[in-house]
Amino acid sequence: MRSASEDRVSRSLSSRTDPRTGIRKEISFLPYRGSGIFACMHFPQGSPSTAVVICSPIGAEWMRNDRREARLADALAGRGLCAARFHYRSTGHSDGPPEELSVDSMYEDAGFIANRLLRASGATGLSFVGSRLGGMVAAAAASVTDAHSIALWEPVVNARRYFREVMRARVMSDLGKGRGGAGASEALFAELERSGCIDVLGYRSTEHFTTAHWNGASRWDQPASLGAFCSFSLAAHAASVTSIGRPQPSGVRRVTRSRSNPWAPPRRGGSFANGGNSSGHKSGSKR
Amino acid sequence: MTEAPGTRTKSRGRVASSKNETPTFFAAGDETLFGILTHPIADPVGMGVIALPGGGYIPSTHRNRMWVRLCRAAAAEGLHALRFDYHGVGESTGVIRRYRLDEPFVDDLMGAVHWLEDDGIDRFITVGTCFGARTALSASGLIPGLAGLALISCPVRDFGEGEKASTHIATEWPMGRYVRSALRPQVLVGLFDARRRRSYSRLAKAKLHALARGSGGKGSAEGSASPNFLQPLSQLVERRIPVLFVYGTDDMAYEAFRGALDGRLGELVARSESRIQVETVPGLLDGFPQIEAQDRCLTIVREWIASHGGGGTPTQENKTWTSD
Repeated sequence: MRSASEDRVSRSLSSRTDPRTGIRKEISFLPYRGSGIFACMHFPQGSPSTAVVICSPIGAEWMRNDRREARLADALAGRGLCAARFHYRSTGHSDGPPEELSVDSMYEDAGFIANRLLRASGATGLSFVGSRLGGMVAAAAASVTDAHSIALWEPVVNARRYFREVMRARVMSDLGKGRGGAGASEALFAELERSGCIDVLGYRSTEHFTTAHWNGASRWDQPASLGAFCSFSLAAHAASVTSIGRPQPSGVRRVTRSRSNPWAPPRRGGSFANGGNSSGHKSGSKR
Repeated sequence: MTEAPGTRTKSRGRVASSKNETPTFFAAGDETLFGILTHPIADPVGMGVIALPGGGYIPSTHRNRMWVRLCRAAAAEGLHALRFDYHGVGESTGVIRRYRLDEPFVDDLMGAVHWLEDDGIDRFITVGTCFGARTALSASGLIPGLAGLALISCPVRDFGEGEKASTHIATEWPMGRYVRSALRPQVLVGLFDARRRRSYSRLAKAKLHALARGSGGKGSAEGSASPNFLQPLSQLVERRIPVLFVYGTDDMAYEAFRGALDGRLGELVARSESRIQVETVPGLLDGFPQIEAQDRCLTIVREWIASHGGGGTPTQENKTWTSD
């Protein structure tokens, strides 16, 4: 239940209840550290027991995944859970300049949204869902909250590898236009160092954001944060995540792509994102 | 809403933030759409900017927050600015069956216009990219208070998602070349494959449509521009409403636009007495895949909006068409 003080700090709340399903969608800009965070909360009919925070990817991956995540949140609310989706500061509709985006700020935002969702819904259980880079954020946020479960959808498990893929996308794009060639990656890093940011298919990749994860292992890499804290994790490659919130045996389940999943476009390549390190996905128990 | 020039409070250099924005739901046809209205941070001029994204399930932020930046900058010019998700996209309800340029989402745009009209805004500038540009163009005849259109990477031909090649072939290739190509052994073998069969079927339909329109590879009086593009543009010229076209020099749409200038489009541009303005930026604008091109495009559109009804001091010429 929302308190008066919460109403004061939630700017310009817009709400809509689906007449067919009874799911209420509340969209607002939540003030946090001087910025407004765009947040969309999906409430079921009745009191939810579990709150689910959905951590999106960024950039082009976010654009592709946005509608799927909206449908996922509706599906969760249809099953009696409440769910929150949000745009990290410096992305989407939220405030903030692009150069201030970092995995640290993304992780802070996820924790903030989790707290707001728990307070707004009265739920006692907390789960996280993360896709691609959002998986890294979800794992990190789950590690410092009372989350009892986490689902990762084609997660980034190694930041360095992720940024290498990002650079590769830019190199491939340049080659397609007849630019680049041998040493293109080095040229990109030199440009990054010189100008502080590079253009990756229309998105800014800043030195601040990229090199923090490039030079050595990132503290956000998933095997550490995921394994240490969650009692149940589901690492899924474009597979069903509807088991969120159900009690499952402790340990990480690794699910490969399901052809029957209507959200999963058929893709070539391995069954787990980035050739995921299975040895790193041993789960420990939080409590 | 009209004020005397020079009395306006300007906020040049400042941009709005989420503090100046209201998320909202509004009705459009049978669906409920989600949008964000950015309120002016300078004295309001009573004009609204409506930003339309392209096709392909692009949310209302557009790539790299292009429309967020545009709307917040427009608010500094004293304009209201609305960006919204089409039905079936982002937070809006509904499902998109298909994107076709000859079936733009006019209902969605009109829902946004009526919602703003209910808020007391009666003059509009629509800004659209690709599919959004064609939607803005198609709806232009339905908006009495239209003050201008900024059309970015606007296709001049009609095609559906994934049909660019077939439409190009259908409109550009002469019949003989088309038949010779269809009778190649690999094409005949492809008839046994369901996916390729569907592709051939699309291509054959496109060719038939092109022949029916009289533009099937032999050129027509309209050049290679679609009537769905030319007709509303012609009406805009008649109504003396300014139109800005912005293209990337590498855009496929720009190549088609230049080709179409040889036909009726060229006549319309000449007849518009400079109200149709064409600007280019180096690189690609279709889909906004390059930051430099994004920034240049935004600058062009912002300056054009400012000079056509925003916080800039209106010139005598501007006043004639920005007032009702």
